[in-house]
Amino acid sequence: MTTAFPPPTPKGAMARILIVEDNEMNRDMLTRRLRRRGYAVLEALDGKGGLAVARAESPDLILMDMSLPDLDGWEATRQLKSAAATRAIPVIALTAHAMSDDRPKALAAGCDDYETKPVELHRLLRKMAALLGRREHGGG
Amino acid sequence: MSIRLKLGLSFLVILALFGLNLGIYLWSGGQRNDSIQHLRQAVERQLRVITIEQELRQRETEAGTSQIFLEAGTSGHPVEMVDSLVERVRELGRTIEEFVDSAVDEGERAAAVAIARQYQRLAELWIDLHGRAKVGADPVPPVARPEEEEASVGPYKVLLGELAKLEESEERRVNEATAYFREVADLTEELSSWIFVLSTLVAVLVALLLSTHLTRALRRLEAGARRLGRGELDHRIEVASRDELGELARAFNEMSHQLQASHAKLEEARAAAEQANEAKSVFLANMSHELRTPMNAILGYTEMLLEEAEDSGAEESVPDLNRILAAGRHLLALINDVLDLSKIEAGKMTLFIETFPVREMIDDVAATLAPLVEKNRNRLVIEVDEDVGKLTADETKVRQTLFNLLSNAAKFTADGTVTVRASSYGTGHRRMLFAVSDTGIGMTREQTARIFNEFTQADSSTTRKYGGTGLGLSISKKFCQMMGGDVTVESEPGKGTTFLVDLPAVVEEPAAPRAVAIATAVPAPEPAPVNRQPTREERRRASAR
Repeated sequence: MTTAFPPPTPKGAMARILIVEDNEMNRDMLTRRLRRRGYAVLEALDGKGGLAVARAESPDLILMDMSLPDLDGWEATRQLKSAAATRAIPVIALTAHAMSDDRPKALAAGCDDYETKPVELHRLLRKMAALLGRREHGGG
Repeated sequence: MSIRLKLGLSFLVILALFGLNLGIYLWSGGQRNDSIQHLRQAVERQLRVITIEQELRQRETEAGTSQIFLEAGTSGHPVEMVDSLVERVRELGRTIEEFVDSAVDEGERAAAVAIARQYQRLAELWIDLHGRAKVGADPVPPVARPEEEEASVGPYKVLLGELAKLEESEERRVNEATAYFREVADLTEELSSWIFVLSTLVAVLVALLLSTHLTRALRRLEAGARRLGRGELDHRIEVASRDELGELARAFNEMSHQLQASHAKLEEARAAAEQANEAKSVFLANMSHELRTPMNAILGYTEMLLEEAEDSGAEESVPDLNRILAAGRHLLALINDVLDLSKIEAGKMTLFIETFPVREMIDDVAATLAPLVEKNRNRLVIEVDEDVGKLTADETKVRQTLFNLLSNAAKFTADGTVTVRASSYGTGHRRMLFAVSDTGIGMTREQTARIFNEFTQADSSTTRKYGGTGLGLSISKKFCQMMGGDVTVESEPGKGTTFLVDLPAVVEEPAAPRAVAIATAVPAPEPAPVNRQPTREERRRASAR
């Protein structure tokens, strides 16, 4: 049951996920759980780092924490979505709490979907699968 | 001036006018009495003058008789007769003297004295004449004494003239008295009439002024009371007089002032309490937020450990890890509820409106709750009307509301049925109604009355037996109220409970009927099929196959 959603891999390769998260434990958990499910995981600790990795590595999907030091998730997403090279990468916002204002702000910034923390893994996986699948179809 | 004083003074003025009238009446009565006295006196004097004149004429006739005797030289009067005649002459003299003595004024006295003198001379002549005409007394030669005769005739004529004059003056007096009497009577009548008119006018004027004043003052008070009643605490009534009504207005203003002051104090206290409450809410919100970060880690690592244990076959630790996970999730739910509630109370809860399909949302919520429904061996029935399409609302809040109601229903029902119904109603399907019913323990009227209060469950033993924060219903109701709807409850002990969620909806298009696949929608750790009745649509499709 642990691999209910085998990661859809474009062109047969493993899907590469970029996690932008400043909290060490959250980052660690998410990285390990995604790797366990077969994803290749890239990590960044803040908005600037996230932008740099996204530009350099062109991941298949980005999980972006919204409250980041230096350059926050909203701004980072806006920059990603305004650049031609990174515009197509789906971004799932990780927001603090369901009731928070972060959610509408995240969607306004250009995030494709959102997930509240603490992450409910199965729901996140579902959302990831949907976006990756869409991208696969969209990209041909 | 007080109203009592005003009324008293008005009464006194009217009383004074009546007094004046009475005085005039009394005065005129006196005047009339006097004039009647005068009249009577004048008439009496006139009468006496006439009597004197008549007597005089008689004396003159008697003197004439004696004269005839003397001239005839015949025997005259007997002695007794002469004495009697003399006595009568003297008698008249006395009468005239009395008249003089009783003269009412100097004019009359002067005239009377002149008459008395004239008569005195005439009386001497007449007494002498009568004496000489006595029988056999003195054979006086019957010589005519023309000088004597003239001497008696002259004064007599003068006397008559004087008497006539006196009589005339007496008559004038009578006329004067009569005229005066009339004058007094006329004057009295005229004055009485005027005073009556004046009294009436004064009374009417006083009544008008007083009633106008009273009415105005009372109207001002009435208007003021109304405005005060409407909450215009700064309104003050004009104090237009110094009477009792003025005092009343002053007292009214004082009351308004006191009300305003105490209102301000209350307002201040309320603001302070609100501030304190807000500080509390902010603290709770921050605190909840801070609690969530470590909770995040605890849950995440526990889940990881669980996955690893399952993968590596370390089955003995799986139940314990599941307990940690369950307790952690419960704690997180509590923290989230407290956060929600404090945000609602601080007025910081915002709505995020989007359009979403109702059916999917319900299926999703039902899927999440499937394990809880299964736990008490309950059956979950979902009935969504075909024309229920999409709802435009805050999806998260609607979801949370249904989640709360369904988990309640599942918790308080065993070996029963939990039903979720969704339907739209009203013109243009403008309202959306969700009904969550169970066949569980139900509640008494007292319990349903309290059920939406924070930290309240049907009773405290419920909390021990079933767990939960007691915040879910309160939060759900507040969410729905924020969205222009409400949550209500109908229940009967032992017969179950129905919660109704009424929301405004924008039904955009009837969603394409689709089969519900609760168990497959979410890969729960232990996915369990949910027993439910087929919907009408499903029945239709099943029969069409």
